[in-house]
Amino acid sequence: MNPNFTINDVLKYIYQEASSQLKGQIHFVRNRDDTFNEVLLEFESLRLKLDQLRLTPNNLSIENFLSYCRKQKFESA
Amino acid sequence: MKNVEMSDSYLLLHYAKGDEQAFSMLLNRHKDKVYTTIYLIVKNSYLAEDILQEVFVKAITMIKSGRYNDEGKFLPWILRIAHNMAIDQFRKTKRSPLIVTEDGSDIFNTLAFSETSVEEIQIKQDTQELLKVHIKELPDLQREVLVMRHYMQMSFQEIAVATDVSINTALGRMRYALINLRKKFKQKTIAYEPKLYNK
Repeated sequence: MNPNFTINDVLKYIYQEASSQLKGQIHFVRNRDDTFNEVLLEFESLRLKLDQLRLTPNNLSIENFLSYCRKQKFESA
Repeated sequence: MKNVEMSDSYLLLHYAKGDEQAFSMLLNRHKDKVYTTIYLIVKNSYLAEDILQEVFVKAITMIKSGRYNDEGKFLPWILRIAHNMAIDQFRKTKRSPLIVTEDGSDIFNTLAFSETSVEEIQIKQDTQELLKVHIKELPDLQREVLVMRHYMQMSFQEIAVATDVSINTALGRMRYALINLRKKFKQKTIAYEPKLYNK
């Protein structure tokens, strides 16, 4: 196999948007190149951290909002 | 009623019929995702909470007036509303004109670093908190792609269409965002070749 891919192809692979052919090429290289594999693992870990980031709004503001909605009832326009 | 067993469509149907509890469940189910999307754009928790409420008010109004056509895509729909409202607000409050470099960096971006002190970050020592701070420091265009890909679950092709750029530009902005975040975490840079492997 003669791998031929760009850094943007690698990004598609990290985000699971790569074609099966591209996946095959990248798998082929990462199994043979430890440095490349390490970089990929690092970016995959970063992607996971980003996916797991969840910010929560203040509970009180949500409760106030729900209470406001109940009062308003939002009649059909 | 068990929250996990009911689909968004089911809750929307009940809400449209006047079941207020159904709306409460929908809000609680999706508030974090919507809030995360808004916060990472406007970078201010108070403003993000205000916009979050506006988003849900808009959603309520559309649902109640029959202008929401449910196709089982409530979350993407409300995330799109949130994104548009957050972007509008962000543009309104941005005082300086945006000057963008080739990689999507705002040349005034360094100003954002003063927002959170190093000392403050060291005290928190929390990955999520650090990540939040680092995302806020990213150039606007990189942050926008990151938010769309991670929190709005859009594909790079969809992001390219939504932001009116080529898919390679969208991918490039995401790449720079990841490289910048990695650099911020590790405080070191790694040079990349444009072609990693070639025949």
